[in-house]
Amino acid sequence: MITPLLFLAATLAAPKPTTVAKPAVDGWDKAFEIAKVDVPAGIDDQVGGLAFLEDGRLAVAFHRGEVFIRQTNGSWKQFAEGLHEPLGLLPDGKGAVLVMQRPELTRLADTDGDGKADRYQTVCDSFGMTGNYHEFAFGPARGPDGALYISLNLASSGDGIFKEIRGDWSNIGKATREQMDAANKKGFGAAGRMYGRVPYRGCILRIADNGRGPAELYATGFRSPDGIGFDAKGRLLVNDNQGDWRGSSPLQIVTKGSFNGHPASLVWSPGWNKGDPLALPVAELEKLRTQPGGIFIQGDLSNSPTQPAVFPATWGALAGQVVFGEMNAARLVRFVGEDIRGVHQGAMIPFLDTKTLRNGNHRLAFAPDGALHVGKTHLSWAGNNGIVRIPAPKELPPLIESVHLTATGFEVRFTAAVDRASLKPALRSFRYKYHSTYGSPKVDELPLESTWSLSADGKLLTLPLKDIREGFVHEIKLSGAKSTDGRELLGPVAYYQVVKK
Amino acid sequence: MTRWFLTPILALCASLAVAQDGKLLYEQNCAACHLPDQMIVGPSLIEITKLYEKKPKEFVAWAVKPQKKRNGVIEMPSMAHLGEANLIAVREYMLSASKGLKEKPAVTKDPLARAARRPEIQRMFLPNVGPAAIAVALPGDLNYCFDAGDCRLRTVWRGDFLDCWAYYKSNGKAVATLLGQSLWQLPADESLQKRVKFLGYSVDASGLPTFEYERDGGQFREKIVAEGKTIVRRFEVTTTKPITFTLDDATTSSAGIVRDNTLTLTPAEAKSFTLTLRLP
Repeated sequence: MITPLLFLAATLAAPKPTTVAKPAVDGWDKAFEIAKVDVPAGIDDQVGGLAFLEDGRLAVAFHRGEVFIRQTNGSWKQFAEGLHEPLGLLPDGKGAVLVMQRPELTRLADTDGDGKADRYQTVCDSFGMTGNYHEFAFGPARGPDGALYISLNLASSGDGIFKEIRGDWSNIGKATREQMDAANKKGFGAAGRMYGRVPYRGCILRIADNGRGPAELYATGFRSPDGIGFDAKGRLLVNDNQGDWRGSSPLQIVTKGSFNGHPASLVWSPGWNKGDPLALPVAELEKLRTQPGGIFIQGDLSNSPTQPAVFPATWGALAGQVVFGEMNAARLVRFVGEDIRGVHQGAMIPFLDTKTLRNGNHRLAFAPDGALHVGKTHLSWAGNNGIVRIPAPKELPPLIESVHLTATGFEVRFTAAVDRASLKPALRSFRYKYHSTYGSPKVDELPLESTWSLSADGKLLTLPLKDIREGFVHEIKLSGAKSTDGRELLGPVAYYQVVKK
Repeated sequence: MTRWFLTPILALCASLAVAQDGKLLYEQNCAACHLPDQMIVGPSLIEITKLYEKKPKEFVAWAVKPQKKRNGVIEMPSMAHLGEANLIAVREYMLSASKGLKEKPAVTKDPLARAARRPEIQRMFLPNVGPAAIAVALPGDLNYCFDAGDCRLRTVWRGDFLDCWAYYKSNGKAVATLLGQSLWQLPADESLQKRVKFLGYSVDASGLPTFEYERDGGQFREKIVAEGKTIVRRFEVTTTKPITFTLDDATTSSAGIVRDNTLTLTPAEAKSFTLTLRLP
C-alpha cells in the first residue's frame, strides 16, 4: 500500500532534472594543473583581451581600460590606459598591440621605446554606436589573408539609446529613434529584443591589409559574437550567444557575404530591399541563413561561449583542434571539426570540466611553451576575474580525441585505450527551434540504438547508426567509460552537429 | 495504514529529492548572479525568499520570462531551458538556503575609486555627448570631454574628474558622472560626423593627448591645455582650403576673421593658431 503511494508522491513532487550536467569530477585535477597567475595590484582584474607578444611576454587588456605586459621576471608593467571597455587584444609587431574597444579598433604603439604606448591610432571606427549598453565590440582576429576581422554586437531592448548617436540611423524597424531614446523609459521594447539600427551592428567587418585598408562588411546575422578567431586551416570561426534566434549558442563558420541567423543586421546587407527583417517569415530566413557547424549545448556545455584558440603542437593529439572559453560554467569546450561534402561541421566536447577552473572563461591564449592562459571576466553577468595558467600535460589523460561522421554512423577516437566493459554508449539526436523567442528547448528528440564495436587497440569506437538526421545535434554519451588502466574518460560526451551527412 | 504516519514520510521523501537537484541547479544556473545574503548582479536569496515564499507559480513565471524591474540592474536571462519542475526545485533550494541569514549591504560605491592622475585620459560613456567620448583630467582642477564622433571639444568641468561606477556596475547602461561643476557645454551637431574622421591621439611625456583628425579635408592636430581660468586649444592644421569654425560667445581666436560667429582661417593662418575658451 505504501510503496505505490510513495512512488506516486515522489513522481509528482520530485522534479526530474532534464538538463543537469554532471558535477565536476576531480579526474581533471589529477590530469591538469590549473594555477592562478598573479595580476597587477589595485585594478579590476576582469580580462577583456589577452595574447602573447612576439617576444613571448603576456599582454592583457583589463576591464577598465588598462593594458599591462607581464615582464620575463613576472612583474607587470603598464603599457596603456584609458580605453573604453576593451574586449580583444592582438599583437601587432614590435612595441604595438591592437585593441578592440567599444568605439573603435585602436593600434597602441610605443614609438619612443620607453615601454609605454604613446600613440593611440584609430584603425577602424566606421561602425555606428547608439550608446546602448549591449553594443559591445570584439576582436580583432587576423586572417590568413592578412586582414583584420572584428565582430559587433546588436543593441538590446533591455535599454534604449542615447539622444546623440554615431552613424546613420536606419528607419527600418517598429520603434522610431525618438521612442528608443533611453530617457523615454519605454517604447524601445518595440524595437525587437535585439536591434541593429546603426551600421554594422550584428555584423562582421573585414579591414584589409592588417587594418591599413578600408573596412568592409564581411558577414551579417550575429547577436552577441564574443568569440572570433581562425582555426588551423584559416577558417573564420565566430560563435554567438543563446537568445532570440539562437536556440542554443551556435558556432558559425563564416564566409564572405553569409547571413548567420540573427535577422536584425540584415538591414545592413548591400541592397537590402525586403523591409523589416524581423517581420520576414521564418521559412525565408531559414533559407537565407548559413547553418551552424557546431552547437554549444545550453545548460549541458556552454551558455555563453567565448574566444576560440587553436591547440599548439605541445598538446599532442589535440594539436590543431579548437578550444573555446565558457562564461557560465567552470569549463571549456573543444570543437573538433571536419569537412563533409564541402561543409565544415563537428563535435563539441567538454574540456577542463572542473570547479578548480572556475567560470568566467573569456579570453584564451597559448604561451610559447604551450601553457594555456585563460583570462576571466563577468561584467555584471555570471563569471569571474583573474587569469589562470594550464601547462600542456606531459601525457594526455583519456579523452575523446575526435568524432568522425562516416557514411554509416560515427567513429569516436580516444586518446587512450578504453575498457570495453566500461562502455555504455547512450545516443540520441535533437535540435533547437529557429525562432524569435529567447532560447529553445531541445525538440524532435530521437533515442538512437547502435550495435557498436571497439577496435582491438581500444582506441576507436564505431557506432553504426541508421537515423542520422541533417540539422540535428547527435549526442554521444559515454558516461562511466574508463581506460584499460582504470582511469576515467574525461569529458565523456560529444555533441556532433550534422549539417550534411 | 493510517494517514498520520504516511504524511511525514511523504514530505521527507519529497523534500530530500528536491533539495538535492535544486542545489545543483542553483549552482549551475543562478549562483553566479544570486548570492545567499548579498545583492550582487541580482537580488540575494533572502530577498528572493521574501518575494516568492508563498508564490511558487509567480517564481516559475518570472524565471521563464524575466523582465526589466530594477533601475540600474540588468535584466535576468530566461531560465526557460530548466523547465517548470526544475525551477520549482530551485525555488525550494533558494528558500532553504536563505534560512537564518542576514542581508549584507550591497556595494554601492566604486571599490576602486581614486583621485584622478593629472593628466589622465579615460574613454567612457559621458552625459550629453556622443557615445565615442574621451574624458581628460588636466593638471589643476579642470577636465574636458573631446568627442571622437564629431571631433570637437564638447564639455568642460571643474572638479574631481569622473565617477564611472554606475557604468561599470550596470555593464554600460548608465553614463559616468562628471564630478564637480559643469562650466561649458556644446550641443549636439550630428551633421559634423560627415565632415570629420577621427584618427586617434598621441600622448606626450607628461601624459597630455594631442588629437588627430581630418575635417573638411584638412589634417588637424589639437592639443588642449589649461591656462588659469581658460582652456587653450592649440591647433596645427595642414589644409589647402580655408577652414571655418562656429565660435560660441566664450571662445576667441588668435588668428583669422570672425563674421556672424563664423571664424575663417586661411591655410597659412591655420598652420598654427589657438582658440581660447574663457571659463566662469
